[in-house]
Amino acid sequence: MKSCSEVNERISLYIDQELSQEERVQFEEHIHSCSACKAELEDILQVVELCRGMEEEELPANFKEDLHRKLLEVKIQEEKTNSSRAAMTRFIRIFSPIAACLVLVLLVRGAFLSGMFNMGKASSSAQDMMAKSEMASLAGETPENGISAKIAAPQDGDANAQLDQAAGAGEYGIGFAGETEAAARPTAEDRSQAPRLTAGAVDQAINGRVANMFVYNDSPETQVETVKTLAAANGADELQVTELKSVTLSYSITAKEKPSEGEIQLYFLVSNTRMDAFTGALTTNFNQGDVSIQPTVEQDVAQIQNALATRLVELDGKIQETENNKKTSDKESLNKLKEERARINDELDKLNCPSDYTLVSIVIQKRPE
Amino acid sequence: MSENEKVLLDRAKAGEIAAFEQLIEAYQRKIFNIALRMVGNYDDAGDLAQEVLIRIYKSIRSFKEQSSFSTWVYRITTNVCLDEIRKRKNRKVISLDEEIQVEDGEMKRQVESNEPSPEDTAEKSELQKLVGDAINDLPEDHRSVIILRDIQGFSYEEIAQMLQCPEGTIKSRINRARQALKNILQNKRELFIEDYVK
Repeated sequence: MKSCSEVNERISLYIDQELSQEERVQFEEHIHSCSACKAELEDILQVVELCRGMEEEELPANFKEDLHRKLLEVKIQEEKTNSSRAAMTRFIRIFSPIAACLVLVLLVRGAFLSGMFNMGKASSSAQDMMAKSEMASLAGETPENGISAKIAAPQDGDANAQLDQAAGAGEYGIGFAGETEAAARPTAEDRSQAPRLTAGAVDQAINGRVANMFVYNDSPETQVETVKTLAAANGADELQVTELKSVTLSYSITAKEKPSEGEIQLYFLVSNTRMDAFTGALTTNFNQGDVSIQPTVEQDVAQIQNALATRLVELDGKIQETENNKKTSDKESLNKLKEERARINDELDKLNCPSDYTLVSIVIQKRPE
Repeated sequence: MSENEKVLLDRAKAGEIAAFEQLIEAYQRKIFNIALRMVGNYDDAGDLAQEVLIRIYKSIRSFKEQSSFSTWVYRITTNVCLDEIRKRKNRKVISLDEEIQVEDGEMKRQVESNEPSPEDTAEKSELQKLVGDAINDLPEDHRSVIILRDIQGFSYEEIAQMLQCPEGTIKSRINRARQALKNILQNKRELFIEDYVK
């Protein structure tokens, strides 16, 4: 290692102790006799020292909360995609043979009629039948109907009953029911992958059912992990207060940012199909009397809708009034009104979505005296 | 990988968010700091670190456990950061002080920031800022090896796995990156050694 360029190439390896014994000796010999390379080594060492001295920054405020919210969104989105893909596959499996046969029947019949009778009448009746079969297809596609409901119902019997209903929804489908049953019977794979969250976003979820539960213990904080583990075992996702605040909050659960002293409040989103298992797990785990499970409450969505709609009309009036009154036009309050209107419109949209979840609040507290 | 981490990994692969959060607890601050040095901006680094973690969550089922989990995590981190830097080169960045038109006339664009308060920043030594800026002036392939080697302290072998390059390439790249950083620092403060070191 005689030349300066060779030494220069190896400065970092020397600093990081990546040179062989022999190379290291040669390197050091050169450095002792060459002031330029020695200066370069010292400079690079300073650079490395400066970098090593860079301080680690703390995570930004709310980093974990924001991440939690995004993860929930991703998870729900993924499961939604999975279940709608599964529903679509089933839909195609069930309806494509029916559709194929229908088209054949219609074509034959159409041709026959057009040959024998009035051509216009025949084609209109064909159109009519097509429209009806399309309607039947649409009926099968809506999430409330048999196909996606079946995903959550693992028993063959139930699933087939639902399927019959779906197939029977079409006037012409019923004759093919035997065939569709066989095609759409859930496979073992379907059952093992029964989604824990089938559809609907966090905010929609809160429009349906709510349940209040209480766990009593002398030191509430010791029970938090137990409750969380039981919830996780039942596919429940924990919700943070920030997530709850951004949505139409149930009238029967209050999200407390700071619960009272000696009291811990946790929120979970539990799939309706898993609620019994979850409450069962809670009662099994805690002593009788240490847990109190209030009956699940179905929200009166219509009542909330009415209240929101009334407020919307009120807001529209106020906004118009403020806009017309140019003299006292106060931009800030106008914006506030408009923001509220947008928020209420959002909430109304959300209320239109049925939910597959129950929002569960669990308060862990000392036993009331 | 510890037994505990393995259990968490399996649960995270099944989509369990709580397990995923526990699993990445030990990594997220480092991910944020790598992102911070890569983009040089506190707010963007926060967004980018979140993007990295979401990417990890989405692809965790495809983690084959052939490399170590940490190498895999930081490989995704550097990839996401490098993608972002390349994307930015292709678009004009809006100046934060640019004047924008509003109904009432003109006003300064106000940008919300999670950045530590001015008092905190003032306490941070001038030197930290100088070095941070200098790292930011490096081309991205140099920047990534400086961050991984000299700030985060990964070995040559780990860095080679993260950046998916032969170790020989990493060796020479680290040397060139340090020389480049030295030149930038010397240009910024010609007398930086006298002024700032000891």
